Amino acid sequence: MERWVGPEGRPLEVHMLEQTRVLWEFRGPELLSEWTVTSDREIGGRSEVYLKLGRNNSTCMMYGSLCSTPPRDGETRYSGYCTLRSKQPLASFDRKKHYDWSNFNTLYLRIRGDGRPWMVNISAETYFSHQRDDMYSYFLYTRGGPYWQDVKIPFSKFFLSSRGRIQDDQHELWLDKVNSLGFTLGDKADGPFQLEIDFIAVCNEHAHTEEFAYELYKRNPEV
Amino acid sequence: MARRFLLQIYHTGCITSTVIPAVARLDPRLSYGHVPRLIHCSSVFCKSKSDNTNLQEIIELESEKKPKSLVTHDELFERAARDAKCKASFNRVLETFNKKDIRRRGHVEFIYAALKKMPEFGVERDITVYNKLLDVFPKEVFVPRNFIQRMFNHYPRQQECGVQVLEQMENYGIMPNMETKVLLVQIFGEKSHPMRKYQRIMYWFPKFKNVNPFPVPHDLLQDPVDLARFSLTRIANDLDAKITVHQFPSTHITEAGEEISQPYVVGIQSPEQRNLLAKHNPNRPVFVEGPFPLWLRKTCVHYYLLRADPIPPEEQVEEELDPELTGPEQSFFFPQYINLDLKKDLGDDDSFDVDEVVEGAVYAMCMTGQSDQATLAQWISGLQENNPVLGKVPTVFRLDSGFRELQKVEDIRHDPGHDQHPGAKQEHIIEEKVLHSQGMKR
Repeated sequence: MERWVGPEGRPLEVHMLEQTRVLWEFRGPELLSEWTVTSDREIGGRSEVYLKLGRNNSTCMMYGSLCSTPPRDGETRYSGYCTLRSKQPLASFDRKKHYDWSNFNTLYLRIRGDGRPWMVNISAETYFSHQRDDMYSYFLYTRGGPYWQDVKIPFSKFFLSSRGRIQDDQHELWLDKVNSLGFTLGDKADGPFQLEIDFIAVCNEHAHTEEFAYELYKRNPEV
Repeated sequence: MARRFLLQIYHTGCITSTVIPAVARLDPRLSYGHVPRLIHCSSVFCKSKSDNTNLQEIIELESEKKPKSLVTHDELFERAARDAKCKASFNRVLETFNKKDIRRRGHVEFIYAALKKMPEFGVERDITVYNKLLDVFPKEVFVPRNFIQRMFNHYPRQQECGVQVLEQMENYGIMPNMETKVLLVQIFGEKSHPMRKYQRIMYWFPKFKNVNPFPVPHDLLQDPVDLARFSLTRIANDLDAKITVHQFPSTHITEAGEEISQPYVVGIQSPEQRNLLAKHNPNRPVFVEGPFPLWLRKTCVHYYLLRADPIPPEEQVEEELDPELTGPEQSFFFPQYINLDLKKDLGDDDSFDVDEVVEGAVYAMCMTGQSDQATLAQWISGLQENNPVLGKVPTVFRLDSGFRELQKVEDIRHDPGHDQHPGAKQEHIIEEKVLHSQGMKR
């Protein structure tokens, strides 16, 4: 049994019996470099966002202020977003690597927010170039207050959207080649915000058997 | 089908008798040379008769000076906004436009202008106003009549405009109703782009209507004490937690004629927090920290915490549960603590491999109308009734400088990340305030 080697060089036994996997924890400053923060500055907006370690250097703290005034360029109609996104993992010679979460069915987050609604985005590897902007998203509601909040989001709930528009023909998220995970704030409430993340993990919820939460059959009228 | 129905109405002539005189009275040039086409007004809104004399004045004013600017219809709204920015004046502008020209010339520009002005008039969350706005579109004209028209984008500007109306509804979270659908079918036909947009909204909105596990009502409570109650129960996350109103807001005038207003102080403490506070080492201080923000939709409220620093590892005491000890609500059949070594199956380990984040315990939370130290000291002294240990413990106030009361979105000062990070926090430890000096241990 011991000579079998599973994916990523780990023993096969470990791989097969694994029920939870911690993907990101923020226990040191070097772990923040795996993430990028962006705001609507890149389209000319005025939101600000910063990323740093939390008070006791073991959590990730994203803070800033949201401003939903659209830039005065005559074509942008909506603005006001801040995003935290994990970087694409790369192998040698800048080859793309992917996360394989197909053993798990639930995303597990331990967060502390300030009552604002966020969005969790997962982008997976696609084949055709017109699918480049495909993104699977779901909502993340924070309670606010001084206590940590454990959030479990089944992957089956994630819906397909492209360039911010929810798509008519939905498809379930394929978890074998996940490129990145992100958090987006865009609730049009101007002012300071903060989100503290303890860790991000995936787990296997045995009671959850749903494959996809939205209709896949052909609808009439076909929207 | 719809057209046939309207034609029936036309033939019966029940509306003709009421509408033609009105049009003729408004502007004699309009009714000159052609019979008014009734299909241009929907059956719903035709019946409502507005104050025609007022309208006539506005239209006369409008026809006197023709505006030369590119933005054609802003002026109509600005003139209406002069007296009152409300739903009635907005509706009056729409009616004015509808009555001005039987062909609704320039209605796309008008609708875009109206969409932009809606938040100003405070009608951006009103479904009837959106329906009225859609009613500005002439009916039946943009419905494709043959397959070639249907194949190509029939009247693209108008369809785009219709989609825009629906998109604004979507952005404000308004669900369209049956009237919207009827209007869209009358205006653009069954399979047009706005109709598709309508179907998409009706498909996705009900799915995500109730996904929020911490719902906030659209119209927040007006009374600050009620709002504080609502927010504190939300963040406490404990059904046993008890809310105490330590002080109601009040204003009274002293003999010297000065007005003294007392801010409200609302606190919350759960039994668990009280137990933790009772076990607190009296030699270590407790801290009053804040203000921390809490967002309820677009409103930001602030709360304060009574907390301690994390207990250093050398002082931590492992609490052994006495198996013999049973509380009053303890069942005899189910012990408080079981040490059974049940064999777990392979792969039954559902725990996460992370280090615990060490943080100090939170003992109580409160919200006040004023963020000065005196108000918060009142809260602490109120807490002392149930927590006698507070009399022995030194209390340190670590407050953020700058007062922020309940703020609306508009007047929030830009101050990114103003709390929970020690760099920006000015720790002015003002004094170690020992509230009851008789219990002081030095």
